[in-house]
Amino acid sequence: MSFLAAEQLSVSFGRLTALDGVSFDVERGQLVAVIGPNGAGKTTLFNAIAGAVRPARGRAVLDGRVVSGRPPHRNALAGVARTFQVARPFHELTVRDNVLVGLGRARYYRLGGLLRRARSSADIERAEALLGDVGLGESMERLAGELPLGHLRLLEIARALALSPRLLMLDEPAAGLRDTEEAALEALLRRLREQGLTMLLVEHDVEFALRVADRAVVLTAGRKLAEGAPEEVRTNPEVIDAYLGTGTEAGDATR
Amino acid sequence: MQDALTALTLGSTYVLLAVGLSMIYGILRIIHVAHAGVYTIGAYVGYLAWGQTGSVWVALVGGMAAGALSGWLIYALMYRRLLEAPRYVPLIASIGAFIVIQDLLSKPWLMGSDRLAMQADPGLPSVGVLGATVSPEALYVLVVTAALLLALAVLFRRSDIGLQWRATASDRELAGASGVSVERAIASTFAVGSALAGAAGVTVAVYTESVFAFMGEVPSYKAFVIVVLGGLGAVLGPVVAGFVLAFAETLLIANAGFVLPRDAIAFLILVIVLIVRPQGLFGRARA
Repeated sequence: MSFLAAEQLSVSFGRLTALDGVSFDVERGQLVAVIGPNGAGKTTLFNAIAGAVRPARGRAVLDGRVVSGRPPHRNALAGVARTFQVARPFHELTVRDNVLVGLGRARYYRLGGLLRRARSSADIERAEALLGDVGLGESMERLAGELPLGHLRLLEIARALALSPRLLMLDEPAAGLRDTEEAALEALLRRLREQGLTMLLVEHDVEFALRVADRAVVLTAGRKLAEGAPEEVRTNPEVIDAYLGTGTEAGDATR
Repeated sequence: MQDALTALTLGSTYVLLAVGLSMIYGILRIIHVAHAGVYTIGAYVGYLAWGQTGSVWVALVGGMAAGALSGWLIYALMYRRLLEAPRYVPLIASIGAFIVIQDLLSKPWLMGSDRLAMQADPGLPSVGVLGATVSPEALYVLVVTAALLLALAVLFRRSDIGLQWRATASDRELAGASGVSVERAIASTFAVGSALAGAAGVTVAVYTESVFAFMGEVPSYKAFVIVVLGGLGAVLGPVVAGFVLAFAETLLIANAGFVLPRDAIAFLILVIVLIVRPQGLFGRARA
């Protein structure tokens, strides 16, 4: 059985079907990209797996455990970490504290854990190591709200990594980045992959996604159009059609 | 100098009430009018505890416990069910809860009289400072406020729950996605903020030597002035704003022969500041 299985996931918003029976598998240690034109249902798929929206039908199973339709904080404890499409730090907290929040999670549900010190030296060391890994070692004392976009994306990842995730879900991490920032992000994703982290990447930038991914799932209008290795997907006539044909901007409303 | 000490004491009571209000606004974005009801309940329970033991310290603990419990109940029974409703709904519910608390406490069958004298002896000395005198009652207010604010600062800055409060106030959904127990963070914010309101009630009762059902009326408005001045949802802001307001009120009345009554000054300042700085004195404008 695969590590993460999306099984016939469907999501509706009112009468609108944003996601229609999408299934795919992610093996442990793989980086799988979900690509597709605007409005294809990429972010909806992502939210359904993360627990942020409840699927009308179907489910997502991580390592034998259903994660769809469960509150996000429960999934966070179960090892599902996510970043947001619109970079979304705790603005009023320092960069280091943004990461420390996730590091404390194991204690948050224990009675008596409440008054414990948030800043044990072990936690601080771990937070600083994570921030160093993503390249934010210089900004730890700054307020997160003051960071430029490229750094915010990296902070999102560091914050997600603080949950020691078994599955890292990245929602358009490359959006709005400059070339040098994108290269740094790509190198970071490769390093995380080498460390054996399983990742699901939703990405609008097809070239970026196909460069870093082991496999890709292509969505269009809420359905799975194709799935396979980057080369297969790149040369699939249906995929080329979806991107070059009428589908490109047509489905915006279904986001 | 005597005026400055009066202002400091008055400011302390404002701050104790306003900080909890600001914490609660920060985490739920609701206008918690019933906070002043919690303050009144704290004062009454403090009065009863003092009546039993004669100790203002037992009164303080009792008032804080009663505050924490009643604040938490208001959240658990009322606001938690209204989180998804438009914001005026919890506001109206809150006003209702405040009125119910005041009315109940004013009923003769509950407390006997709607105004009770509380000539408590804090057992503290009078202290002379630069030719002025700090009465035992004022010293009690100052000591309690300093200790509680210090404890609150440590909780915010150093503890797990403080980090969860700050994260949840910043972005509730993201805090959940980061593994924070959002429910517990909100409930404990109510408990701690309301314990501070209870402490404010007890200290005011000791300082003014009385407890009455409508003692929360003016402080309720004034705490909102302070919270808005301090930048809604902030914690340090209301502390500074509370003292600034107390000093402004006291000094204007004592020295400038200001014609308006004390309570009008707060609102005059509020209106002026809101025109000049809509985000409050210490708030940051957010996109």
